[in-house]
Amino acid sequence: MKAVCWMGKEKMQVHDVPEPKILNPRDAIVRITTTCICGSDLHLYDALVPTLAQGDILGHEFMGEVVETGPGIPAETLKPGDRVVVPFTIACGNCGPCHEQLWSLCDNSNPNAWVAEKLMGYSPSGLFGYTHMLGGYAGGQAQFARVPFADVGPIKVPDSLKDDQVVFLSDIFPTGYMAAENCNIQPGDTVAIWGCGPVGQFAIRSAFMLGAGRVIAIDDVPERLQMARDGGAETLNFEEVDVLGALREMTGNRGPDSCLDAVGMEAWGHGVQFFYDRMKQKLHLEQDRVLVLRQCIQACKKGGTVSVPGVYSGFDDKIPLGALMNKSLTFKTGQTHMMRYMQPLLERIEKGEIDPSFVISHRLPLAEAPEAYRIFRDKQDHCTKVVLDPWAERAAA
Amino acid sequence: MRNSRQQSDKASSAVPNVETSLAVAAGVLSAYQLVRKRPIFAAATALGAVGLVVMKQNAQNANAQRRGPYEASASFSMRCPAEHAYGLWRDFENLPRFMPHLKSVTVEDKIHSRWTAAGPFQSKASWRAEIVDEVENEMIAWRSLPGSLVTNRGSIEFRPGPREGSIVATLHVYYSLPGGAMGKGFAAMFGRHPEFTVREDLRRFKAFAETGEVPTTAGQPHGPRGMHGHLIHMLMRETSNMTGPATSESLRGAA
Repeated sequence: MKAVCWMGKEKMQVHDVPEPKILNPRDAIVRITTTCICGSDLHLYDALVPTLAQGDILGHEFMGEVVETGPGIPAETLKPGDRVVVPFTIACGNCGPCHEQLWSLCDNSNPNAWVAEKLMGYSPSGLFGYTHMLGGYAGGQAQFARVPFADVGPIKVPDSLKDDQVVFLSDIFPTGYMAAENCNIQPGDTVAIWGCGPVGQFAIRSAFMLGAGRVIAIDDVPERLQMARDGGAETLNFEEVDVLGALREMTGNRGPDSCLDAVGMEAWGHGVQFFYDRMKQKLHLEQDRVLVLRQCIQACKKGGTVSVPGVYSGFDDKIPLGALMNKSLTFKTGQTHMMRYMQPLLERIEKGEIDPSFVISHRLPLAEAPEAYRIFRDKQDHCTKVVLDPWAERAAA
Repeated sequence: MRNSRQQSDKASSAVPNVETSLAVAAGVLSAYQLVRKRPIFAAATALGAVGLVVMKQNAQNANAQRRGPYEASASFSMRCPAEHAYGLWRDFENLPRFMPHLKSVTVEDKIHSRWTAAGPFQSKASWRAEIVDEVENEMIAWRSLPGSLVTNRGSIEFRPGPREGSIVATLHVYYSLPGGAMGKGFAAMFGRHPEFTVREDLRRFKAFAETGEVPTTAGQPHGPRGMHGHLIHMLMRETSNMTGPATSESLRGAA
């Protein structure tokens, strides 16, 4: 089968690889019909997250048709022919964290848990296609994928909804929603959201669903700011205004009630901070560029909440802990606890409350994934979200 | 008596160990970066590789200096009834499903069993064991029969955990060969670091008890690995992912 493989920094290649097999009783094999490139994949593209190996198949946002199930999956739960969306986190459903609905913290889905423990103390769940520290699972930018614990993760979706409408249940819609939920929004609250990429877009719309009175979205890409305004947000272009000053003015010297970092470790900015982070990251002395996180802490009102869906990977400098502590801030973070949100959000899509396909800017055959990574990373060609068809022939040049 | 583990570790071997592979990889990578006129990265790679090797040697030396037996214990909290965990462990034929150094355990009668450990190149060690003590749903203790080549003692305890529905399992394991020698062959079979092996064995048992299977990616597809890919993959797989009997056995019917 064809699969998109990480072959080095900025080097994605499509290779012919064997099809996946059932390895454990609760596995299923899915024939993938639509798969996407995530903003967090770009951190892998830029080789900023440790424990990637040449040859790893990437991709964690995919859906398709079940073609085989292992002996541990009852037919009533899942059977060949079922059309499913697969969450990017892998969870067993039986351990303590799964039992508490903390699905992205599953004890039993990371075969390399000892590696993550060295870095983090204890290991989160395994993820599809996202480094060996987080399980080393082959990802879903391919024609087939093996899905462990298939009785827990995949959700069935009705044929009345197209792939484009439901594929984002695999990651970015629940991620934006959980990030907004983590803001602890009280009716009428003001929520400031850094990052108008796809996760930020879903966070904006989710914040309004959850009762926010005002959403202020921050970015510098014109079409993404427009997309944010289409979702009801007021926007700030950080290239043109001083964000902290603007937020102060817009909130009567109070600050937003909550700040949401939908940017993560490859934040862009200007000035001394950006230069410092970028230099240290290039020298591998710091893993993440934490400009946005610092701004969230500074900008947040006293007693407010900072919500962090943005992906970070390591140990970083100059976090304003003084501000964090003295302002009584609450931090809520985490990879998305997918299984909490997929079904309720599917219902919202079915009811017509939201059509997630609005974020899509590029639909390409899988063969063009290497180029698509570069376009997405460099924000060229008005790129907001790339979805890939694993079965389409390469488009004529 | 000279520490024989240190000596045998220094003995040359046909099997390239991690240090050698890392040194070769770092050398090639540094040379490549020099060719590409990036001396800073070449230096960083070389320094990084040296640092890793030094760390590993230090860890090994610290380990080797603990003369004598291979002994460790670990504890894991689990979410399952004590009866369930006890029942799974009590059937010793299950042990290879989460202890990759065991090729097989055959139960002979209520308290006797035959254990076979497997290593690379068809190396094997086999011994008979007996259960010396057990308290239902609480504790099992076993030992190899006197006169076995491999001396093995172990115990597993299950105590109630802090939360309802949770238990804490504690595993003690002791291995030794005659004269206390811990040679390279033994390390190849049981792993170099007992604390690591025992903890990972118990982690796999927790997964087995809670989910009916042990998480794995051994056998999944991937693109061309190259030297870098093989190195990373080996560093991860060397000590965590299981291959061999446990994987194929886990497919024979759900737990």
